[in-house]
Amino acid sequence: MSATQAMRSALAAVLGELAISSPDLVGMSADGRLIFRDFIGNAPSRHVDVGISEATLIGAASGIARCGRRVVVSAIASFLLRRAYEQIVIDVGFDRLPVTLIGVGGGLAYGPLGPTHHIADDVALMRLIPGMAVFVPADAVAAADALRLATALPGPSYIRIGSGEDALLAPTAGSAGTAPRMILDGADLAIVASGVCVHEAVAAAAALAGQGLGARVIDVMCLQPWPADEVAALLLPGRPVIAVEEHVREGGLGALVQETLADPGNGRFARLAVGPGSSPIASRQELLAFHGVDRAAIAGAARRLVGETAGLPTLQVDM
Amino acid sequence: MTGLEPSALEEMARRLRRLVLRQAFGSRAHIGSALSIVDILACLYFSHLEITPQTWPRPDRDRFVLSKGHGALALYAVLHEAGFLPLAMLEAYGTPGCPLGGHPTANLPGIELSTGALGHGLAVAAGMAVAARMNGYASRHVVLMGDGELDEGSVWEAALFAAHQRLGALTAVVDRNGLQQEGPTEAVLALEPLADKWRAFGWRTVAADGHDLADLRAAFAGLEPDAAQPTVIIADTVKGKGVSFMERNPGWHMAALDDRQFALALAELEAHG
Repeated sequence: MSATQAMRSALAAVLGELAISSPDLVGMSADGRLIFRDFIGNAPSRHVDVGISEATLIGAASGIARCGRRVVVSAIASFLLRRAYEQIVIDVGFDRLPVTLIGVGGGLAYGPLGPTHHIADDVALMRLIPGMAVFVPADAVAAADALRLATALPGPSYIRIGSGEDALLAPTAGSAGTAPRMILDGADLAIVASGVCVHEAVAAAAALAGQGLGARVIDVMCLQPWPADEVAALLLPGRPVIAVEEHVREGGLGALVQETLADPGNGRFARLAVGPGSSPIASRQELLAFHGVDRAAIAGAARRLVGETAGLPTLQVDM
Repeated sequence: MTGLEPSALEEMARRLRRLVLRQAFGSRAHIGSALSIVDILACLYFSHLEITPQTWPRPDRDRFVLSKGHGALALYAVLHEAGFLPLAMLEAYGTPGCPLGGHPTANLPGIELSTGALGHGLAVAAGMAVAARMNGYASRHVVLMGDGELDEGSVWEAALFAAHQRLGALTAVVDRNGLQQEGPTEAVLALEPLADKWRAFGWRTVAADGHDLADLRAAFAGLEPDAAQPTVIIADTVKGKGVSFMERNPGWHMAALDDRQFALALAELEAHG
């Protein structure tokens, strides 16, 4: 049983360090300062909470960033991005200000709270903003790496984090930091994933291994700028590829992988992504299954792609 | 700073109006919206604030945000007079290759923020005032909004924020010309009682005649950066001020001047001199 850590607490610790090491850094929140607990402890005068006012959050962050400082903003992902999208585009994006946006509970992480709290198009929305770096970390350590990198960038960035605890992943190859990394090695197919779907892919790979199928699981955290060469180098030449994401088909990981493949499609590329529209009220795990981006769906797609015969029993995957 | 003497300020306002008309001639432009803010801008740049090409590189400079970005022609005019933009650039307004758009963009010297979307400037200026306080600067921050712009909810949440943060160094000016694109503000989305609203939001609220330079100067002179509240100056203005056939005429929100109208308008400005 691997260790777990919540991304938010890992980021809280990094923000606490940055409060000391980056005296120009300002932290901003919208009626939710928990992630800034350590930051506030070290630099109380450099934290500002604006209340439930996302437009003010981004606008004021823009104003502060125009005065020689950099800003880390944290709020619930769906409200941060949608409510204040115009502010992000114009007040931050046009002038590529050093503002890092932490979207808490991105994707379907808030599960039973319902569709108003989900955002499965955040990567696409942020990728549409020129100069916006986009990160979807899969565990707390990766999230901490993403925040350290993002707050050193000259321009804006978006980091999607979940809510609650995630298992800590251990890559077999690839450097620590934000480059694409191989979590598990395998020879029969590659599964490219980000965020929570990396965990789903790992679970699918375990099930597939029991059937003698070796799946290589590749974790891609940085989706903009897209590390095309590094991803291509990690794929298995001539072998099938699955891209799976807690994100809609348009504009996310799958779209990027498809662009990267020298030979897209031809029956050897499957994209698993969240369907359009509102999700039903269900837990995050149930929603991942509902949308066909969970471990069972990944394993099913893998068997289809690799050409399992009809005689095999249907794979049962324990959740 | 040593500002212009009152008579010189009058002459400056007249020059600015001339520049607005000269830029506008030859294209469709937000002429009325620019003319209503000329006197306010003359006061800001040549009496109250210190914003020059020399102060521009300094992080502790005074900052002005034209949140009602469609007043751009007036901003370009005052930025020319302040030494930021060459006359040739203004004269090329509306012609291919000219970097001056219908709304100001932050890639140009003297422009703090790309505006035009309405409702953005107050929060950004509040952020600037917050940063100035963190940095220990004595800089002043002024944001000019249209009255129609106050329809945007983002203005009011920023107003809550600025008052809560006790941003005494932040000043909002409302170009209360009573008109928006569709017609009178009170017919589209009634704002009155407007001063009461600002007061209720925790702002020190001052009324001024937006075309009386002495009144405007007095309003700005009364600002105290260490005050516990931000201040809003509700400036009573006339859309199209300075050109008789434009004044209070919603038709001049966005329109073009023909040769005859242009000559007439310039002649009126000379006559008032």
